[in-house]
Amino acid sequence: MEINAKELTVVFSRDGEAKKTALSGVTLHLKGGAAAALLGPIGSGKSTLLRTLAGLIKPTSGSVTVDGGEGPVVLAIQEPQRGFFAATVREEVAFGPENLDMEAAEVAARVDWALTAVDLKKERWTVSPFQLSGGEQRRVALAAALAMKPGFLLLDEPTIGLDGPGQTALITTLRKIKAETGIGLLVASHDPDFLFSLTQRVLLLVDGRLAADTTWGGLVEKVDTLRAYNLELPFLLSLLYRLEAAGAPVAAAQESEEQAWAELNRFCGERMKGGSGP
Amino acid sequence: MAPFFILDQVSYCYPGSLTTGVCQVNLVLEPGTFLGVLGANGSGKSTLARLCCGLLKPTTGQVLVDGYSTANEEELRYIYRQVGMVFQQPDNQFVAATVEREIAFGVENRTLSSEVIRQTVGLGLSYFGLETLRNADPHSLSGGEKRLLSLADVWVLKPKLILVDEPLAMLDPGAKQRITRFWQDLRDQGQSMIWFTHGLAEVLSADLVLVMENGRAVWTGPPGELLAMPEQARAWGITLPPATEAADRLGVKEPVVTNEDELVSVLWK
Repeated sequence: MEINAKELTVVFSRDGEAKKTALSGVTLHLKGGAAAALLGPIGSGKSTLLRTLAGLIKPTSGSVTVDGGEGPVVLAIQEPQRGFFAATVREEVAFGPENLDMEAAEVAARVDWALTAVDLKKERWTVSPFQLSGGEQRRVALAAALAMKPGFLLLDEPTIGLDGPGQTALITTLRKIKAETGIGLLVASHDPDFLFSLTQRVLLLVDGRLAADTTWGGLVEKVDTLRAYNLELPFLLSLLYRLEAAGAPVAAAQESEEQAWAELNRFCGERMKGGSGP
Repeated sequence: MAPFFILDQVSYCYPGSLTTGVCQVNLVLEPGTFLGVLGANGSGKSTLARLCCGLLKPTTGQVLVDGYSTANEEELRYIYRQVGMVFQQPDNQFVAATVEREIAFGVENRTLSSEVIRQTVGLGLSYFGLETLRNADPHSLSGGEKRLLSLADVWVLKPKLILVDEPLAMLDPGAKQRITRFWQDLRDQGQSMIWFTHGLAEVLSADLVLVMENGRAVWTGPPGELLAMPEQARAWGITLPPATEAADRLGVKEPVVTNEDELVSVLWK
């Protein structure tokens, strides 16, 4: 599945308020089976872009086309628990598939699969979603999105309210689902470490415009641009960048978390063997 | 100084639930204290926050603010003025049609002159960088902007104690710096804060941290001591600072590292 966004512009106008341009001429090509990060300062248009790609907002000009593949484009919104309405967690997750005219047995199988995938304790499946903690509610909301078997999943700040183990479980789940189903992912977050562990491509949105379309290694070269917008590199890349700048024999431009760890381990290993210092 | 905020054997059971949300928590705070409450998802942090501000009443035990109890409806009016709560989901607390009216709402309910109200609202807008959004609908803001607005709403009321639930969620580094300065200013003015989170990095400058697990307070002490017991902290579901985790994984045992500057100087010295 592919999503093509061409020259997307979104202007919000409300009575009594000045018009606000939320997106301005954004052109994007997103491929299935790939994971991209959406970075940007607060209010830069990240949520608007996700909503427009999901078809929830009609662009003022420009177009979004979805080609090939099976399954819908599904957006998991910020604070998804605000949309909960069902009496139990199972019913909440079943609501989407039930509306696809599926057999009851198939709905049940999807619900089991989705709730297992997000690692929610089984004794919580039959309680009211409103009785769950914030982190558990995030998992239910993700399960509800996954139960739709999306071809493309758009996630808006998926780590809000998740603790460390919850974030690790989310990364494992999304990686597994991507490998098994070939789903495409676009993830907006203010947590560069989370994004670094999940994605390869990086889209930087500033004032509604696409300021960079690069990789994590490429982002290291744009560190001055990031700082100008008060944004940060992922911790591991920032550490490598600082070491490289201090004259240490390391290469900062690493493309993935695994590669960044390998480079740090190699550097530390050589230091242990008595390599030279500054 | 005399303690102004006391949790005395506080327990809470959700109606219809057999498990205890919060179980026999004790706490004494002096004015100007920064307390971090740490714990995994479902450990009881948010329930404890709601008990602290009087939104929930303890099933047993009592919450006292300046000697007034949250269990007493008459005394709650006083407590609501002294304790401000910033929720995890900011939308829950917005009532007005514009950002400016939203900040003004709480202030207008105090007997203040219109000039003082105007000044206070202006200060709140500028302090949290919301001037350009003053006429926007609070519900139309981005997630991060809503978070800043919810902090401004409470800040302008100058409560003695501010409770914040995961305040850094959805904020970019620029906004996070604002929040750090915000805390320093509160401390300078003798106001107290309780910061509920799972990330130790957020509360490293706290005077004290309290760790929750399954509704119980299982550990209390300075944040530095928690850094020195990383295995136990992880077992409680606490996220260690990224620099501490990286140092541990790279085999740096001494000294204890809490930030990037320290780790760079340890690795390349």
